[in-house]
Amino acid sequence: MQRGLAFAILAGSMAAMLSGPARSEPDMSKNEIVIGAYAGLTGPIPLTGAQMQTGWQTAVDEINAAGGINGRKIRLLIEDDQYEPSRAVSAARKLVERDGVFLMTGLGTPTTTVVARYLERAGVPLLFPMGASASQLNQAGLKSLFMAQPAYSSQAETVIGWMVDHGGVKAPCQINQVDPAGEDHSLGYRRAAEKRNLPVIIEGTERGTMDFSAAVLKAKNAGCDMVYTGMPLESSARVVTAADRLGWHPKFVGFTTQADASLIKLLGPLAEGFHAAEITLAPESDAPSMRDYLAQLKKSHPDTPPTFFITYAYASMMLAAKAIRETPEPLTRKGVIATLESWKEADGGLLGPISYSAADHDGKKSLYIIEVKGGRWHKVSDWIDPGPAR
Amino acid sequence: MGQAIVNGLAEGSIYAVLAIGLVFIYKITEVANFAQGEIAMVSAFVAFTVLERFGAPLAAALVVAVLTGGLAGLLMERIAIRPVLGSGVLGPAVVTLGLFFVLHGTATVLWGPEVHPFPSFFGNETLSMGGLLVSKQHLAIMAASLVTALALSAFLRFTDTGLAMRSIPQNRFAARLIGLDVPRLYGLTWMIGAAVSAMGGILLAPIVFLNTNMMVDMTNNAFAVAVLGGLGSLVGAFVGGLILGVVKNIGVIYFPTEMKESMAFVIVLVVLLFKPEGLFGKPQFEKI
Amino acid sequence: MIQIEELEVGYGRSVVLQGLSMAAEEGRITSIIGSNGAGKTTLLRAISGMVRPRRGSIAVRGARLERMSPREIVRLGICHVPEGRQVFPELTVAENLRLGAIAVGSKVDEARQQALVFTYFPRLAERRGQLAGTLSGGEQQMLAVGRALMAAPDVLLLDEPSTGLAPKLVQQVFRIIRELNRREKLTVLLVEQNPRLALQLADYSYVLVNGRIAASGSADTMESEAIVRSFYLGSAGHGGDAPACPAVVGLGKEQGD
Repeated sequence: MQRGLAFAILAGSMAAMLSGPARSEPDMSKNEIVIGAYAGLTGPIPLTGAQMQTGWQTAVDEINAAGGINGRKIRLLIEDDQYEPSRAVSAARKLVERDGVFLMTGLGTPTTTVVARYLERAGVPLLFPMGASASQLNQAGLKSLFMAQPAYSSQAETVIGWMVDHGGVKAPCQINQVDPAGEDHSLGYRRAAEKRNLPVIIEGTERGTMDFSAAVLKAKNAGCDMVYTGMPLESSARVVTAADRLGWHPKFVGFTTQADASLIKLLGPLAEGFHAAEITLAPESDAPSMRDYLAQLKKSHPDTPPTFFITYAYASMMLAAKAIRETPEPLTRKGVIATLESWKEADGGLLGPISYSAADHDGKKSLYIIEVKGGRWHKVSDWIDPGPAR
Repeated sequence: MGQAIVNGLAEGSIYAVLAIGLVFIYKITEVANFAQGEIAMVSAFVAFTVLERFGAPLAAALVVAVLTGGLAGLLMERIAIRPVLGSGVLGPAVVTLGLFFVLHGTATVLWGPEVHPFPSFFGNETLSMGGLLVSKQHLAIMAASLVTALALSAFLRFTDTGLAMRSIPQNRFAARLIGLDVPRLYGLTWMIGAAVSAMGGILLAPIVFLNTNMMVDMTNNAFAVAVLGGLGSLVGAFVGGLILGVVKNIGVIYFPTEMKESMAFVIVLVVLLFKPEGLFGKPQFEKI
Repeated sequence: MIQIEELEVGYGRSVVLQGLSMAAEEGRITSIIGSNGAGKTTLLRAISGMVRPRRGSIAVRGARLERMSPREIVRLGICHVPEGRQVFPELTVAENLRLGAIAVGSKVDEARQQALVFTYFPRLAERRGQLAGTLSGGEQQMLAVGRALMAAPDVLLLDEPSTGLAPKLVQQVFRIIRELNRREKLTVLLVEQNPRLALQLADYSYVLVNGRIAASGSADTMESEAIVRSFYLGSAGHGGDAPACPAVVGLGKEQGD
């Protein structure tokens, strides 16, 4: 996986070098802005691709129906990359060099990893792509990439901090899957623990582990009263059942991955009290931005439920529109980047508060805590925004 | 420590169920069945479909799953294994590896990547014995694997069909020559071995949740167990499974948890260094 | 009893038996003499169904064997005792014997057949609980014959029962074959490399050279023919392919059937 990623980056960088990127700003039309996107509409993740497309298009419909952004209508061009890094780079090149897109967004971790580097050279902003490990990209220090999902490290730090400060937890510990994402979770946990002078207890488990009894028993014997599970959803569920078999019922905590109805479906009553993180408003929210969104979704795509990916894609497109709207004329890519870097607890609509700085483009750190009560997820905290890294 | 041993026995008995089917097939037909775990997974999904789609009672669904497993084994032997039997050791092994991918891929297409809860026949309660906790489901798996190992051993030891099966790997030429129906016995062997693994699948699914990846890691461990126990011994597979489970669970007390999975292979390596035929294997007579 | 016509058997490109015809009479001992590579073993394997002939016919009491499986042929009462020690080494003597009966199913009285085997081979009774792999060469040969007898056959196909046995033991095995033939009315088709032994035992003999019958006759006529001995003994020393011997041409003309 790591090697695959490294290779993808290498291939992407080479493609970028060969291309002789167009650094110049495009001539802006007075009545149109072209936005490009790459997504796997066919291939291994067609369902996710379709949902992202629905979300983006719903936002564009809403913006254009209201007259566009400062008089400019949005034209959205989506290229199918089949979730393949090399195709994603070709798609991005076509969009930038042939279609002259003003900025880009996209879907997929491996594809984004490669495309982000090409767009960095081309000087084209890549706004709020949907990819798993945001901190990997952020740590690369790319100037034109802005993320709108909290990195795992940031999620872990915020969630664990909240559990200790507000959830009555005294001895948090962590069970991770040993992979780059797991490392990210550890990083955040260490930060939260250090800040509060708590010991660090991390149990690493292999990808695909089916029996977590050993890791759970170690955590139990270490005296933990909370377990943060840095792993896929079904693995978290296995951790909970393994603990239950040992008659141990500490607080269980996850991140955005666990914030899903399927956790409750898998665990049944054992899911009660599970805490996780949410980064977009829930459809049940009575916030005006949610009401607008649901109304527009019903208009653009009747009978489509507001899934996480649709909501995220919609919210991220609205956020991009907000950045363009707030950028003073003449509209340039550099101008948009400057606008984004000036945001301090800006209203991110469905995404909550967002803060970027020149040094930190991983600015969407805000999340809120949810907990399973009575077989459903309930919001148990307000938006928590740790703000940009110092 | 006590609880770690109990956890190890529980985990090990899961490896044992799968290893027993594996060893049974290997012992008679000398084919390493890499698709063993995938038969278990597909059978569990069939049970799930019967439960969900047709609302069948759990017991009926489990019976259907075991029958499905047996039928799958029979068909696999007939369609994919028999034609390549003459082509050395590697041919059938590669075919079973191919079957792994075919079953895995087909299951993903049919049932998708979702993870489903799977009902337990024995309930989800945990029993306490002298302060040590073990779940009913794990106890059931332990009992089932022990009973299966003993039953299959008895079948091979005391029945005519079992005797005929045992004779084949010792001298396949003579077995044919004296008039044993070798193809039918091979088919039966695969059917039994696959049905045992299907049983393992439905016993395991309540613990790990039903999903297409549920058996991949288990199969790796089952192979380690099979080698550890001595490839020809069913009771060895059972005991080997327990040993592997216990050593892994005690090991993580002294080593980082990250080391747990690699311990399986360290144990196997150490055992093979000192006892190349495995813990319960016999040094073999020269094959004719 | 066994009637073979124009039998052709080969493996891949090589032809081992080329248009062989012969017969073995019921209740008699018929021997096939030939050097290494002459096709003796292939002939027996063709009769027992272990190799499929390309052409020709094999008939036993009117039944055509050439498309039957070994299992079907065994069930017709035709049992092949292969060359070498083709026992199941990790099974006991008793288990080896049982397999012979199991293979033909319920139609044989297992206890009766085992008693019969033990009267001819008391040694096997003594060793019944011992693993076959631990038996001596002679005992394994006896076990292979005993296992075939468990199927209550009418016809016994014996492939080089003397191989690797001490002369005294060979005499013993051959005496038992003779007794089985006389008392149990077994038809025996014996393949043998040692012509003296074969001729001594058989009622009628064939000489097989390069996949063809080179000569045939009853034991006394064959033995008197110095030609047979000279050609045969001459070639046996070389092993492998039997060299074309001048005598073969002459003998070929005598081929009767």
